[in-house]
Amino acid sequence: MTKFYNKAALAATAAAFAFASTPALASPTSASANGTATVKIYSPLTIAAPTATDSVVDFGILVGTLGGTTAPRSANNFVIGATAAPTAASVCTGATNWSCSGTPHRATYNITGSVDSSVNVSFAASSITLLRSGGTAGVADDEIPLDLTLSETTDSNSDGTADVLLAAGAATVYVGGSLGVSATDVDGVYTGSFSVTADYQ
Amino acid sequence: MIGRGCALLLSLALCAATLGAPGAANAQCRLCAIPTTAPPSEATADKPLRLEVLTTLDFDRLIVLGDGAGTAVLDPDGTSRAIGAIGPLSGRAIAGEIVIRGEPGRAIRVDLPRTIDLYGLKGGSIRIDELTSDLPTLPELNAAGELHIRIGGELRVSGDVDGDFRGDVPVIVDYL
Repeated sequence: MTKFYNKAALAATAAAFAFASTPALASPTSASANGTATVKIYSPLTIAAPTATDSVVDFGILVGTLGGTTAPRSANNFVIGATAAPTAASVCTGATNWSCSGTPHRATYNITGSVDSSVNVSFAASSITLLRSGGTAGVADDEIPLDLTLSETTDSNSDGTADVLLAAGAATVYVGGSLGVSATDVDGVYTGSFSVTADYQ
Repeated sequence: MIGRGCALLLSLALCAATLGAPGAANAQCRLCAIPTTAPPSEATADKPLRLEVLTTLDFDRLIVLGDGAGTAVLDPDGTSRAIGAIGPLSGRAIAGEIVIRGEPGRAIRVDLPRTIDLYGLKGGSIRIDELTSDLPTLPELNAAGELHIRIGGELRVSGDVDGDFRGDVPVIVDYL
């Protein structure tokens, strides 16, 4: 009997002490974290023709000849392709009763900006009207329409502008066009102006 | 026999004290009370402080407009402007935001750096000279145990820099 009571008492005592001795858990009173700050900085973007001559789309000299049967010259679209340097012969390709001479050339523009950046290149107006020197604006025979073309045609986001990659911080684009000469256009020198723009994507 | 009897009585006495004997027994036997290391009842354990970054402080895209220096300012409320030889390429600058969570109503201290260096992925560095925030003068956690803080800054750019830049904004929070 005595032995039983001793063991029970000692067990109860040990249990009580163990419960009373359990420490309270401490809670964190501070915290830290790293936020992030970011920015992407671009160099100034420029687009310019290397020389004044490079800024011109020149179709050269177009001469409408009379055919053997005295047929008058016909209307024709004279084309300067933007992707290859033109020649007089290439300008007159497909033209009937016309001869081409002079030094036709496409316009050339150099673009500079941040390395590996992509830019959108576009015309302010993709079609312009050339006016005869001494002619009258609005008179059909004094005007010739020119549809401009660009050597770069990829438009990955379908926004109507061409994508150009500045792989080493620079790229060159060319401008050509299709000149719609009518049979009754008055002889003379025809000129017009166009604007080409580059913007960071 | 007598020794064992004394041991039994002693054990029984200790057992009575720890098993919550009636109050009269406690008052009579204060020396028998087993000391406790439990904290006082009025100072309960606080919720642990936690810090979460919700948005990055993002000045988005800037373009150098010419020679000289420029400053891009992004306020904690998200408004932005550019001064000098720098301009925005888009209007999508975003103020940073963090949330602090812990014990409702507790006062806290928030340590934010004053300046931050951003390092270019292709080398070089630029600096946020003045980190700003909407941190209250006496910050404390609200009834939900939260405090949101929005962060802006003034980014100075000069010289021939371009590319992607990134930097850390270390934040430390303590209960007061």
